[in-house]
Amino acid sequence: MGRAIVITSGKGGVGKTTVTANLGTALAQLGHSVVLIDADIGLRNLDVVMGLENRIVYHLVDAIRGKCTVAKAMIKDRRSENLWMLPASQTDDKDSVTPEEMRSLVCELKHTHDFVLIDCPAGIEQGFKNAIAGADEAIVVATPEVSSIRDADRVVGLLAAADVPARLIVNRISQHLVKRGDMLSQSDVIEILALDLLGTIPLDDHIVATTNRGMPAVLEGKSLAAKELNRIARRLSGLEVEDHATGGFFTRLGRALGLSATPA
Amino acid sequence: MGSSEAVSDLDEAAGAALVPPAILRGSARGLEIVVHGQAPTDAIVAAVAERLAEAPTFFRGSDVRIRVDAGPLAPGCLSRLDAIAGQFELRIVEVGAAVKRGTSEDAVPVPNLAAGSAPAPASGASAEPAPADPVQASVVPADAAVLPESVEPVAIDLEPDIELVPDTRVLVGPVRSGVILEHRGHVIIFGDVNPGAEIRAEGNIVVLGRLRGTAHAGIGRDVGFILALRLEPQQLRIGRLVARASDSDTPAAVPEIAHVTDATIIVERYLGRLPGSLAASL
Repeated sequence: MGRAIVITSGKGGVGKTTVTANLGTALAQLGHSVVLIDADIGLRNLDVVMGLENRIVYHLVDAIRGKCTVAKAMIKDRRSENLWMLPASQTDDKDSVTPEEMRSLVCELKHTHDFVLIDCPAGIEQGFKNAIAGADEAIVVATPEVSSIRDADRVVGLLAAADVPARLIVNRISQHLVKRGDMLSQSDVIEILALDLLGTIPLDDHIVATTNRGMPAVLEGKSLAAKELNRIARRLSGLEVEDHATGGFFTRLGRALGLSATPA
Repeated sequence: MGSSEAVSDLDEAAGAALVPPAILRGSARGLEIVVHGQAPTDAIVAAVAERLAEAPTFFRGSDVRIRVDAGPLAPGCLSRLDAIAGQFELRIVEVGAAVKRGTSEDAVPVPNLAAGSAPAPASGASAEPAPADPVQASVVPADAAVLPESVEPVAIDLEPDIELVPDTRVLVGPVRSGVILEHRGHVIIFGDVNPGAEIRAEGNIVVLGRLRGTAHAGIGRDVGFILALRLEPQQLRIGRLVARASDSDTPAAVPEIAHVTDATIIVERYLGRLPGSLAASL
């Protein structure tokens, strides 16, 4: 039985889809069998970020309506072993699926995969309710901006009400802006949201480039953001228990000297 | 109420004639007038007037608490005291029973806590160990100093009581954005109140954490207070008044309390007691 994890944020544009694509790819590269579900019905774009747009024949709503089998609607990512994606419909709207239907779909996929990652739409309306319906746990993505944190806080409250435990990814943090006092730090974000931290992804031009090419950054794996995403994937799968925030001797030394990429 | 104040039987033993009808004294909470309840009203009034006249400008504008020692005040006495207070521009904010203590302020030395010489409770059963044993001498005094008050509760001294509504609501935070918490009584929150959250209470609001959202106390009553370990709210409302943080304010890293004085919401450091004007209004 696999784990269903919803990636959510409340606010749009903070990197949910990019995080979903990269974590899914990284988990698959670790040898897990992974399926990504785009729950953003009507505004799908996980397929674009994954570079699988031109292979969509059936989608999530088709599978739920019984127009096709779930297996048929899933697209296999040929770049990774064991990675599939279930795209959203572009023509339906959020009300065309109910939370119960999502729950049974996710439950079905959990039987055949280690990880079911659900890319949640922005907002807290029907699409959000559908996306979290089948989830066992949640990853809340927040950028170090007041508006993002405010929305994330609201979402964390809704997740708690739905009994979905949540962990935090702080996305797009820029150490030199933090040092200059122009950006909220990771600890500022954690202080308000009071969540366990899964990881902190640095602001990285590389992500923009790879996302636009439909090539998850972790496939190339060289950039700072990709390294952190790989680390988060290992932590998510329980392979890496060490908290990077404390780190080993050299990490700590590097941080003391101001060399480390990961924030203290 | 200083826990260092000693209780002794001295004043009972002393004849009433030895007791002055009224004493002025400074306390941690401001000026106190300790009145001997058995003394004739005229004597009390005269004594108070005399003492105040000694330094007519010194006390001007302060809040005064009246402590009644040995029995209730005679009828009419309080209004005459009030008139005198008015003459000297003082404001009587509280009337209560006195914490029993030695007859003369000067005669009874403040017990030396460090030496563990606090007097035993009024029962006279001296449990005080000789400070020969250095270990005991350093451990016992704290208890010894607290004992007198616990032996003789001075509940009335806590007035004005905040009425503890039976359904005072205690909850554990964080109270997150989008949550609106409404309650008819007081609300106590262990944890933060985040931006975007709102607490509405007909009573008072105490946040044992950061208050960064909106709090509305005293709904329909126009009195009340909002107390937080860190008061960094988006907006504060008490009764029909609204206040918002000024844009330039850097939040103080101390507990603060917001309350209403002269139809304005005042925020001040919370120093372990309710501000005088607030205590008077409750």
